[in-house]
Amino acid sequence: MKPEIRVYRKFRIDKEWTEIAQSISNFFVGKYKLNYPNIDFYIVSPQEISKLIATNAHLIHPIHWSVAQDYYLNEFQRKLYGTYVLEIVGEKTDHIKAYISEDIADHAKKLVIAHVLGHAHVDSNNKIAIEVLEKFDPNANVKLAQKVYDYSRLYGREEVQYFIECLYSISNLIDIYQKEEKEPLLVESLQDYNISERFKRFELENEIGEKKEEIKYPKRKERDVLKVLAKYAQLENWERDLLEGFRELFYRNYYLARLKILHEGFASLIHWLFILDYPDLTLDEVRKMAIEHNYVIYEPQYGEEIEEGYNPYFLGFHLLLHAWIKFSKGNVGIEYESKRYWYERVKDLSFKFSEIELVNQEAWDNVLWIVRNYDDYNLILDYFDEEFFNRWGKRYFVYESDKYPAEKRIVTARDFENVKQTFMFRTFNYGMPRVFIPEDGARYNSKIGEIAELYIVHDISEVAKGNILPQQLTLRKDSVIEVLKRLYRIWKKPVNLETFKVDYSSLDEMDLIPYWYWYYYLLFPGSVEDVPKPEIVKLPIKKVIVRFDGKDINIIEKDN
Amino acid sequence: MSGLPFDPIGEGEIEYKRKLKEDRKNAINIEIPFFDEREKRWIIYLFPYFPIPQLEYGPWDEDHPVYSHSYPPIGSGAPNIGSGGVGKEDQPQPGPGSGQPGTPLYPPYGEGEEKGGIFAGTEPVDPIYGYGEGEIESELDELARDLELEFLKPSKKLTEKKFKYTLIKYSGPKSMLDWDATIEASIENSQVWAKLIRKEIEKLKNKINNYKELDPIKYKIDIEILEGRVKSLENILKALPSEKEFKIEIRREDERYIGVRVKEKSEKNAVVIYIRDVSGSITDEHLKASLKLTKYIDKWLEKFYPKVERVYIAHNYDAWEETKEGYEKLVSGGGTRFASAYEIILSMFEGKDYPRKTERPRKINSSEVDVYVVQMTDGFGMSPEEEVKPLKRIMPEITRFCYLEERIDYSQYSSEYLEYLKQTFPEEYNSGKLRISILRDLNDIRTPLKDFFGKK
Repeated sequence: MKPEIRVYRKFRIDKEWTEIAQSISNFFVGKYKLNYPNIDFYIVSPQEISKLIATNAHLIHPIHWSVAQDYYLNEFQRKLYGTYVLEIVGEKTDHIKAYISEDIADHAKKLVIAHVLGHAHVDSNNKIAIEVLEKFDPNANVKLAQKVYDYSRLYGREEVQYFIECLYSISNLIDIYQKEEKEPLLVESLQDYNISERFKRFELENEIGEKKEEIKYPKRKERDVLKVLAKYAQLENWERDLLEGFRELFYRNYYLARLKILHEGFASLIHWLFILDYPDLTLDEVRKMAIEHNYVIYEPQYGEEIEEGYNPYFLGFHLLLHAWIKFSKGNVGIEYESKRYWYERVKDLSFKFSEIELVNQEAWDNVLWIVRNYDDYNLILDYFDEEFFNRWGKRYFVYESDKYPAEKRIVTARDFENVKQTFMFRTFNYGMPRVFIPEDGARYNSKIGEIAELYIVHDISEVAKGNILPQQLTLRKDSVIEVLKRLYRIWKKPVNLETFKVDYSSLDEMDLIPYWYWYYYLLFPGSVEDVPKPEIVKLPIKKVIVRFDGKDINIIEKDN
Repeated sequence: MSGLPFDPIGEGEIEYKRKLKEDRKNAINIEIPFFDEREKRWIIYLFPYFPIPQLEYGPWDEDHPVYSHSYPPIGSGAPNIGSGGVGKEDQPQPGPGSGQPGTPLYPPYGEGEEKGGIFAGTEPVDPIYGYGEGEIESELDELARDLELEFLKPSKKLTEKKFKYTLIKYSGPKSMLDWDATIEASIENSQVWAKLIRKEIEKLKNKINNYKELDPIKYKIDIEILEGRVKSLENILKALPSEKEFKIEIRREDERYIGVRVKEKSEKNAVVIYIRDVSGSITDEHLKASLKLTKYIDKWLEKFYPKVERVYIAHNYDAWEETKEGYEKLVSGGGTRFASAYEIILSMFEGKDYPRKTERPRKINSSEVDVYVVQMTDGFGMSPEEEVKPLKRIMPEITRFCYLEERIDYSQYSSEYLEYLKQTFPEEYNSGKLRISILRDLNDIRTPLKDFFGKK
């Protein structure tokens, strides 16, 4: 069954464009084995697109002032730069909805249609995407929006708005790597064994007792703070109702952050193939599309001007292309990987189009396999290798901000390992801190064992392993304080957060000047490759507990 | 798309605008660089943004030795949109381009090409939503309460006659004949006339039939008379233009003339004349302070007058009228003479030409508008007797004369000129027409505002 594609313009089917889109879709389904449900394209005004961006492509979204703010920011940028967001893919129910800006040229519209097909394939095939999208009830958003509307009429607009703001500020305290495992009762698992009835009864009573306790307060370590809040916080009915609804919404929103590079990379690969391989294009269209493609995946090379941040379109596109080349050449397997140096593996670094056979099905199947099973973190872990680095990755560097002078950012490293590590740090948990509630974290400072204060711990286990410098993981003090105030509004009892700070007082000034400064200015002015790898500066750490009791903030320092 | 049950942005917009009004001070200005192709340079636009706090990486101590301060990232609770959301200023980050370890990326937007900046010569422009002006406005409300500022009462009215040519008349001079209306009327009249005649004919024919049915011999004469009238009416009908042919004949009763409706509208307007001393003794700090004050006075006057005209005069030894843009960029230099500035105002009242950098000479009719003069100097001019001479001629036509003396590094005593002003205009000084203020701290706005617009 080939998926049906329809293009709407002002609620009516545009026959001409439907035919074009259908033939593009048929081409990719037939030749490149793309797989997705029916798609409806809507050609809409750019204002509508900025509206959709503000609401995360949900047609209906709970009312909050920050949504209007995001809309104005997008509109403001659009007015300055012209149209810069061409397309957005909406909610997936039984068919996908995609929106295209109406004020772009016809060749760009064709290119965007091909691009969206790539997105649709990732959305309906990727393991993580399916997991999240299937959990999510498509009507939940509508219900939530209606609830916010009703509650704000019942309990006061400002009250509800502030409560939602509190929820937004802890929206990243969910566990996107969670796996729901239902452990069977011990007695159930011992059914086949010959054990006395008395022992069984004893075990059963024990376990039931534990479960009963867990109803009162959480017993296990939990990374999903919102889940604990929804279960155990002393909330009014409307508050709990909103919290559960928004928790679902946050899970839905954050999955895209995990797939940013893969999503955009695969979509770019598809529209690139569309330019190269699609039969019904004129030469003029191909020329124009190639220019558009260059704009989309532009990333400055070595020797060009420096830019902050990175372009996920460029990185994803080339990582997938690299994987495709590897598979089509047969450059995989133990024998190949065991060669020590990258230049033994690849002798000619110049990229030729003939390296890819467009209909080499085995290699292409492997690319589709990557799309099905990977997220950004794994994609970089496996395919950001030394061959990739020497072919396309040499443009990347690592930069940090420094004191001399203030607000100046300085290149700190250009080598393969550092670059790869920072990419992995950025993509793990979308570069945000992770926290957890330890055992008995919800009844801190209570003797009787009832729900009392909340105790949250900032996870820094990676520092102990020596993978990450401690100064990279410290939290911003002002943000911690603001978040704790809002957490208190929800928990309604004192809130604690355990984190750490770097103890600079016990160090000399000379230790604090970064290592690259010495290497660059004193020892090795000139070539970079001669610089030996610096040792990691180990800094002393102090444990800190921040506590908000409804009135004051107390910061307690503890020696380890 | 438009058939939503309710619009999240439209509803949220009310909340957002309320927040903008009340909570502006907590907003962070997001800098959006934009290349202006006319002037071939980069401009930074500022967008007021309220970030929602989240747990994020960054320096624990703000002033600790390694990291510098950074602003929070864009994106409220939804990192998947926009710039991807991943990226904190203080953490190590990947970036593309050239450069070896140790080379700086450019400072955010700023210090020029020489120091490694990409955006050379950038200057911040007024942010959107009138952010800068709005700040002053909200501050002024507080100041007005604190300092008990007096509400200004517009004294003079400019009555203006407005002519609206909307009436249609049946008589008038030939030049005001409205051709379209007359042609319309002629067509309409002819048709109406024809209809009336046809009705009349029908009536007459009915009457004739009645007579015939009753007794045709008895009413023979009546029938003949009626038939004669019907014939004459039918002749008239033939002469009239039928609906199909467009024969237009204009008669006297068809003529339509345009009439004039006169409306009188009174406006309460004001003119502010800023006299700014840019002589050599003035420092940059002086200039900044006086520029700041002009903005506050502008806003204060706008509250009471619907239309405020601004005149900018700069003087050292000579004086000239400046444009608004030029006024903001002035640099100090040269000698000092106040009289030259007063002479310009005098020639504005008299309608003469004067030295200027604007396109046309200005004319001020003091009987129609309130005139405010604000002079800002450090008080070191020529001999006061000569300076005051032209001021004496202007004084009766001005509603208020505000004199600001910026003195910081000099003596505590006021200048000779200030004392002389008090002596020469004692009545004006006592009645509150002449206001005098001395500024000791250049960042202070409260004292001049209170002296100029407070209760006397």
